[in-house]
Amino acid sequence: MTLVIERLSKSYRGGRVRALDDVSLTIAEGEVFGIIGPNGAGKTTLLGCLLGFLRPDAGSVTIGGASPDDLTVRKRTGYLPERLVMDRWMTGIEFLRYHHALARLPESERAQAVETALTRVGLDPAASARTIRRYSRGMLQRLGLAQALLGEPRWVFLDEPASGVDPAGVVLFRRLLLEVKARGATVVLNSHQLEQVERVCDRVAFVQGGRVQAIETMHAGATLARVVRVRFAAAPPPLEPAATRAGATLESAGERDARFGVGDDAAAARLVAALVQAGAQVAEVVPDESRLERLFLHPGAVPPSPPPAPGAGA
Amino acid sequence: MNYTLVFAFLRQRLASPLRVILVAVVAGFPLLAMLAAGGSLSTLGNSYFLALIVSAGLIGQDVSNGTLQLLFARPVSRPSYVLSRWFGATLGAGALIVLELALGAAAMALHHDPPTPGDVGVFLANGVLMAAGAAAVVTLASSLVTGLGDLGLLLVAWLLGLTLPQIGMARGWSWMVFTGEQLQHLVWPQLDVGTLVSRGFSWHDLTVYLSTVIGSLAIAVVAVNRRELSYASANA
Repeated sequence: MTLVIERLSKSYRGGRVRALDDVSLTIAEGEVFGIIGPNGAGKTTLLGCLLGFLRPDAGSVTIGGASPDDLTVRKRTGYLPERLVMDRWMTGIEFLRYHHALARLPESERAQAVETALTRVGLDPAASARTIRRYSRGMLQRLGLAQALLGEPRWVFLDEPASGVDPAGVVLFRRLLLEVKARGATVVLNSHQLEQVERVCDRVAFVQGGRVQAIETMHAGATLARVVRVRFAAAPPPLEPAATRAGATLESAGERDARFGVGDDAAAARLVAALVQAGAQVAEVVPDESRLERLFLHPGAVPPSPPPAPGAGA
Repeated sequence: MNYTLVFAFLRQRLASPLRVILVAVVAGFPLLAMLAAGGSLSTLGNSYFLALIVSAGLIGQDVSNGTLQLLFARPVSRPSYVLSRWFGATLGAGALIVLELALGAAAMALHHDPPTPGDVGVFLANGVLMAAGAAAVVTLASSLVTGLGDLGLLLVAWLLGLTLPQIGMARGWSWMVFTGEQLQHLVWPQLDVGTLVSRGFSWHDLTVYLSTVIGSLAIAVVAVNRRELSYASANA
């Protein structure tokens, strides 16, 4: 049930604007796969091709061996678009009942499924009985996520899911994503919220200029370090040897501070220990750049086409 | 046919105050006139316009407001969507015609001149056939342009249907006369049951009507099948 993208190309305006250029990816079953990149990079076009909304100029997309247009695939697909437009005359409950019916889910389970979905996204009964035109942006986004998760889909495509949501909503969305991941669904997440992406994704592709510039594994086997900034109480001794001993890299050094690239939390702890052992008076260690920020800023730092995540989704 | 889509479409139309007002105007004034002075069923509002009010923008508005993406992420085939929209519009307009007919017949009865069962049958059949035909043509136009552009497209086709035969006759260009007549058939698909009853069954009339309805729906299905759905900018 893997999602396979092979040599996908897509252009607009009669070929003058190339949105996707020879993109190949394999997303394993149960994997949470992030797509990041600057505006206009081709992320939404990629998602459009994955959902069968756009016809590629070349290449193919298959989901579990079938076309994204296949109704059996769509029956098991959940989707939250970036620009969520709903039938504003419906109430929240009616909207979810409508999508539950469109998804061909059993009518006998409808009332219970809708109530559960509303509870999951934190929409109270009074709010869900209001017409959608009276919803705030955050409420719309919660309702949109509730419809995307109706019927426990196998493939979930989320385009900026936490856009316009308050901090409590962001935390809730992250928890829901982790729940979806725990039950083995495959999630494709397009988001600018790098911290969110880093926390929930197994792998992340950095897309720019219509191409996948880099793919980074977020957990074990990460190829890209994150950066920590260390502040010293007094001028430190030479830092390079301590960094080398700890398996870190010295990125830059000032009079009383320095930036180090570390692979993970354990490497950061080893670095601090090595610095203290070398006689440095460590006053503070703070994260300076997350992995994804580094990926965003230095996409060339990781190999462009690593293999799909083994055993992703565990 | 997807009945979830059909009933959602009907509810959507009922939720539009502008459409409700337009229906009230088109159907209400003739009814008021009948209540005041009596008359025949032919006084009632035109079924074509009722169908037009119900069906205008039936696909184009979904495209322009972006609701199609959520819809087509569901297991709904595009042909099923198109046919459900057409059927919903026909059902909505048909229900209005039945209501109008009931009120009109009641008004006529108040003036001691109730319609005959034959008149009622012909009015109803003509109205429903007109509604189904008009809804099919609007479905075609709405699959080609976004928003309410279908109304503009139909207006242009109607004006061409009126003027081309005039120009063709003046210049002696038979092809232009023919084109104009075909446009008129396309914009006003009509099968007059009264004429069929009085003059006998006509395969020609039936074929012209059915080919317009089926042809319009087939082209609409192709157009929707070919349509790409994206909110990605052309720069992305």
